[in-house]
Amino acid sequence: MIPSIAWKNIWRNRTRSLVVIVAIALGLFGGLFASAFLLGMSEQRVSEGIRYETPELKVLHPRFKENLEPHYSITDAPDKERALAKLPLVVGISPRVITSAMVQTATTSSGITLYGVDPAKEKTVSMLYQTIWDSTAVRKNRPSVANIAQFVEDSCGVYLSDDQHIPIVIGEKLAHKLKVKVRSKLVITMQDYNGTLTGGAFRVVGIFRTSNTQFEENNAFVLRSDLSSLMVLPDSTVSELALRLTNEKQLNVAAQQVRSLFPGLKVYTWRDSDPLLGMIDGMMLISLISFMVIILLALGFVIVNTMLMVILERVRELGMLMAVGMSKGRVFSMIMFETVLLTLTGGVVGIALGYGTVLLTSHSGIDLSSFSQGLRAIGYSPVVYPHIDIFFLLLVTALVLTTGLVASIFPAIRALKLKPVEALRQD
Amino acid sequence: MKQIVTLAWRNIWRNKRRTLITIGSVFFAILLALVMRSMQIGSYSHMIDNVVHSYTGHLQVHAKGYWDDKTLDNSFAASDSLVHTIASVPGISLIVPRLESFALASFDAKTKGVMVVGVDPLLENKLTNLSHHVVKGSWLTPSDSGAALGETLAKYLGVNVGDTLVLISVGYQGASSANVFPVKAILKLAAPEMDNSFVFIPLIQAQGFYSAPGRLTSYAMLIDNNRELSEAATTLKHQLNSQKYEVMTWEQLMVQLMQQIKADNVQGLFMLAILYMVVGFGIFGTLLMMISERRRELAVMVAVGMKKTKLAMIIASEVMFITLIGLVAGVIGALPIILYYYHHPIWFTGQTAEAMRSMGFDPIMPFALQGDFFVAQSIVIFVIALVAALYPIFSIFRIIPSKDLRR
Repeated sequence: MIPSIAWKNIWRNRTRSLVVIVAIALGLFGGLFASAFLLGMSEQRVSEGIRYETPELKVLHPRFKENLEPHYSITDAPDKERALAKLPLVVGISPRVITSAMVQTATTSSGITLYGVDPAKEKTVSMLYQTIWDSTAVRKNRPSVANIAQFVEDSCGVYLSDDQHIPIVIGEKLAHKLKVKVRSKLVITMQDYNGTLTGGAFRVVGIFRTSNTQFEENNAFVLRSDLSSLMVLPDSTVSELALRLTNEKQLNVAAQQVRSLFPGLKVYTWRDSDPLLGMIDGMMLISLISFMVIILLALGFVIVNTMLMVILERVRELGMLMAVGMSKGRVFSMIMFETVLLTLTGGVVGIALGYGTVLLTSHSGIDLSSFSQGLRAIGYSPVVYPHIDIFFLLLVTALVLTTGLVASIFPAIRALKLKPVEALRQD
Repeated sequence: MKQIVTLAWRNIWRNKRRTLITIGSVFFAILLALVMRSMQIGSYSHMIDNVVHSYTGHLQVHAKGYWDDKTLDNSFAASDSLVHTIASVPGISLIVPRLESFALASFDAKTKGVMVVGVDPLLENKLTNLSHHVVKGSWLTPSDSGAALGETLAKYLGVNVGDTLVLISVGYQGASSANVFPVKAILKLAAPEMDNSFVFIPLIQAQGFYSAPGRLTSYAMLIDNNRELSEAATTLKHQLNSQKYEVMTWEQLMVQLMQQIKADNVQGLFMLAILYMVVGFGIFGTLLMMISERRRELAVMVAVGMKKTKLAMIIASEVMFITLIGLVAGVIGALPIILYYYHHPIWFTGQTAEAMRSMGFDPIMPFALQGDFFVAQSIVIFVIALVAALYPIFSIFRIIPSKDLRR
């Protein structure tokens, strides 16, 4: 009874109600879509970070990270690999030798982190090898189909393989900085196991390109056998074991399993090893929720203001209702229902619109490359795929409901305070 | 005209409650917009301040080509006239000379590639406040022959205050250089990169070490306000010989950070736009109701011969009054909130805090307190209110007394 009266009351003044509904709908639509956009952007950053830059899990000597000293290495790596391979959550294991090194050409030099990897195993953990084919040079010059293979090989090369002679793979940004191309020679200096300076020449076989130019500039990959012999490391000694999991959601479970396997070693999840990625992941949701709260706060004020106006307008009518015997409780709940129903109508329309748009754009993506060249410098891909998870959607729905309820209390109390006799006398 | 204003003023107070509600919608609009913007601007300027004061300064002057090829051969001769020219640019408040290059630092059996920076201990301290970062020993004095280095680096090399550090490098024009420096201070530098690789020695010592007497690789400068950055840079470029020197802003020196801040800012503006939309509708709704409630009253006025244009002007002035009162009240209402968070910034905790520290930032989110965005936001909300008032004002021209009177 009361809800249906409330619903009819809403539509007695169509324009006014529509203004509020449209405000709520647009606010939620905008808020949801913006959130999905930013969330999609940060999720992409995180997933690319895991694909190319930081493995989901890695096992290191507890003190290795301080200065990448070869003294703090993992010994008997093959045994540990076998132990790890038994864990059902682990799908890829790559033993890596890591050192800080100085790369030099005839004209310039640059400090880098050098990774020695076994190509076949590395491909099970890091998808970096895929980016070598994805060079802009290929897209820009659109070579004819006939010579595409040759062209790709000339401009961005190939990934490491065991049959190459002292190969190195570097990032596009570093290649530009050093002014080198595929087949150029680089001289790399580093400290060996005993702290003596050592070095060797490497030939560039491939140039990778990611969404993160900083990563491109600071990292290079060579064969583990080459690096180990330069650094006088036995073959069974590595700096880290990088792992890929069947499912990223099992991260903490897997980390725990690996920890109990090697109590003397330290296990890092990607959140520990790349705090910036972890921050993007953790902070984005919080900042989006606080943004939605501000939007809903603004909507709440719009709703309260409107309902106060409504009551002001209907003083006579409400007085009359009370005079003919409508109980205060009913008047109160009628106003409450009006407010909540008004909010919900706008809320449903807004959420539906917002979610619909997200669904529409989530496959094709939104290409920002024409007006945001800087994105790649901070590690973001220029094509954004908006994405929203159900948790966020439910949260927003709950927030809308709360807003409606909270906003309804104040006008309803005002309505209660009316005194029938006085109210009737007002014009 | 005066009559119209008086009428409008009296009109708005005839129904106090209705007016207060309408004022309320403007009040909340400006309040929320101000708080949101203050939060955004605060976190950007916090980031900028951190970067500028951690090392780079707002502006740097180098010899032409130094930034692309950072070698001592791209250094320049320090001169009083050069300092004078730079100081004459309005806004520049501090000029800090530096001579920096890579070297190998050794102690015992440990060796590491480090960045050796020759600094004027007093001026440098004004820019980076390094004396406050000393965890052991004491900050350099101009006559010192000692070195100050980052904590992580000191730990790696195993040096302590009083130990002697050996530096080996290639100096100006290929001269080989090697010297010993007693460690005078160990510093806790915010950015891990710096903490792990920076060695500071007094400028005179560095010039001797690198065989580059009287030469510098850069002047780092502070300006009074980051908003005058591009202006100061342009003036400076005009003053200096562009064949010999390059002028770079922190935005060019720290491209990545600048882009991060810009991306954040675009994000912030986008969110602000959505907020404007919501509050705009709020104001529109209340104004619309105000007019529809008074339809009868307005129809009477038209019926007794009031010109519709005059009536529209009265309503417009009413909206203007209401908006202005709402704006003033909103600004006053927002001030305590912003002031509070300006003095008591929000502290981040957990992973976020750690990540911010690892990038060299204090993990705080301060609010901004500066006149310009107050003015800007007030103008935006004012314009929004006026646009929202267009429909109600024009609806006056649609009043038909015979019909509207009967309602």
